[in-house]
Amino acid sequence: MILVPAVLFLLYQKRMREKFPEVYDLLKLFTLITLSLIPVAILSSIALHRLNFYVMPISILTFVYLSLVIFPASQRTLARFLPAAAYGAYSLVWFSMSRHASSCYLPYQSYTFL
Amino acid sequence: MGARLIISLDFELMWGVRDHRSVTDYGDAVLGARKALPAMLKRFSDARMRATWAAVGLLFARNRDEMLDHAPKLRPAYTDPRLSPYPAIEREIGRDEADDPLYFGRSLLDRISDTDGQEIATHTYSHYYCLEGGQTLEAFDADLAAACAIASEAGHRPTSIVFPRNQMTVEHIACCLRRGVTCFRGNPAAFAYRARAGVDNTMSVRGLRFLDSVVPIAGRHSFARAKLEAGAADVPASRFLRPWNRQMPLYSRLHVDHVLREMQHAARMGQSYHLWWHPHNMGRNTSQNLAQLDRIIDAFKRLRDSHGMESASMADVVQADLPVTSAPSERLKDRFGMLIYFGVYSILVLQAMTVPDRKANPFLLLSGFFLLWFMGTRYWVGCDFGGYLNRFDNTLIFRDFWETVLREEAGFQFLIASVKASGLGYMWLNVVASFILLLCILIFCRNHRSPLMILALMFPIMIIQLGMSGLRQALAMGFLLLASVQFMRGERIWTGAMILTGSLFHASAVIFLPMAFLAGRPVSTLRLIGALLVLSPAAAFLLADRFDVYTDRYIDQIYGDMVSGGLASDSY
Repeated sequence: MILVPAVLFLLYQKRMREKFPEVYDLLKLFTLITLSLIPVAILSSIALHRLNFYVMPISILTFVYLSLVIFPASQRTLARFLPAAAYGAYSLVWFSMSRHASSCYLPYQSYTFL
Repeated sequence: MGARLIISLDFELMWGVRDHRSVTDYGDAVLGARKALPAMLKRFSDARMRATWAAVGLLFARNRDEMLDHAPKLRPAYTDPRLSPYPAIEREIGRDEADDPLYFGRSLLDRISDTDGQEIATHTYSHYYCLEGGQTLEAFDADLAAACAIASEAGHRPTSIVFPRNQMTVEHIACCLRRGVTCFRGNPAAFAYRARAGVDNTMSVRGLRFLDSVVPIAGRHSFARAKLEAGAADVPASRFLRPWNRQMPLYSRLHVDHVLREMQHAARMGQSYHLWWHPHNMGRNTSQNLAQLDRIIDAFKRLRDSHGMESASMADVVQADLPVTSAPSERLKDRFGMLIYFGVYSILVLQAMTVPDRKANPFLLLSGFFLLWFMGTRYWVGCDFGGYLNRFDNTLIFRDFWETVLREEAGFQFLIASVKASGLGYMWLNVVASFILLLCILIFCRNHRSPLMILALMFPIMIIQLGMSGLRQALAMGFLLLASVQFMRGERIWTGAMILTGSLFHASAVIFLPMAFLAGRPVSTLRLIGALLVLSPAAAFLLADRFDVYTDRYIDQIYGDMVSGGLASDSY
């Protein structure tokens, strides 16, 4: 999930710097951090999962900015929709397959309805 | 409603008998249970039978330290001190399961949960006695919180309870409901089976039950469906399966014959029959006891073929019966499941797709208010809900202010203490934590293009998976977002300050401290390495106290893979 925007950032970094100079350094820093996390996966997938939580927001940011850079203005709607579709698909798989999802999040309950 | 055979087992090892039996006179039966239990599981598995295993919370602990770490601060002060297990934990029992198999049972619990169709329920944390002198509702609530927390850390969320010695009142049941335990095993309606304290279990009462086990003097105990009691589902017991008796083999034979007749009656009437026992009941004379069980299983198979009788756990019964017996809000919650999360995500995405960036602010605010309600008022949602609840219950309010503030991850400790000092309940801890997190997220979003889309994309992982579970890391992540805003502005000191503030909630955030060094400078691989070299020693120093905890939790995973923070065991 976080590797795809990192790799795409490396491919499109020149255009990113030109179009969004104010955020470029932040995105580059977190791309480097993301790539440096690959060895952590060997140590522990849980540790990687936890570190991912810190990197993920900037990864989302990278995704959003990339969609504005990669696609032409005429395809702006598609550009905005693609990251949403990717995270929606991820959620669907997670809710369908994960033991954590079924045992910890379902059903959603609120003190409001008790 | 079709006929059902419900089976529940009170899994307690020595904890259930230690007040009136010694290891010398009963230890062999408890050790025998460790062998009988896998044999029972195999039979259930082969016959595709489901069962509820109500486990004493202490059995989830892998060692004595874990037992004490999870123990509630408020312990029962029984009039009869023999009933409390805590002195024994501190002085008598061994280190772990290998050292003391009479009191530890985690490997058996894992085996049960690995078997299809087996429900893990709670039997309280300490084998708590609800009707014995000296107990209080507050002590029961604390005990139940500990039971839910330790089960939750093992990856289970008990929704059913079997009260030890079948002692309960409606107040205790209501207490369970507040802790997310929505189903209990009630007693048969007859006089001999009423909930009573040990002292009231007179010879005549026990004699009546003894006779009722072979002849139907108290009537039949099968039932049509679960009913609501104090808001929870009562799945009443029908019959205790008595262990095979070497002195009275004929009585044992008649008892099982009686059980089979009752099962047959339930099957014919389309009713439910709830059989229960303890694994240690089969720890002695195991082959004869398993032969009794085989007769019951064979009878069940025949009734399944002839009358469509089904096998069910207590949770299965609730699931099948609740749509008829529960409140409308309960039905709503069950029906929607994950659609609620997808619905929220879809609305956030739709909003992001249709609202232009220049008009985003009021929508961000509105979304923030909704998410604050959604996250803050959640009830038993998130893997760490029980862990943080336990931590909340056990945090002392400002016993010493500086002692509270100067601990590791003091920010979160301070947050808990502040909420408690204000006289507010656990829900408000979630509300306050969600408020801080959402404020950080909204500030972050506002500083970028497509703020509504960034918020929508944050929802599945940053809000559901982290924000609604790992409170401390979520708050640390929130401050890291603020640090990233300061980083963009080239504010080195503020970047560092935000990261250090985040580390007050989860010390691991400090590993991002080198970011402060790079703020306002062009980022390159070389500079990143330089920043790491300059600031890593400081980060390592600040992280040193927590390093062992994180290694245990995230690398060695000694608490299991469901734990994502808020452990009750690490930092009172």
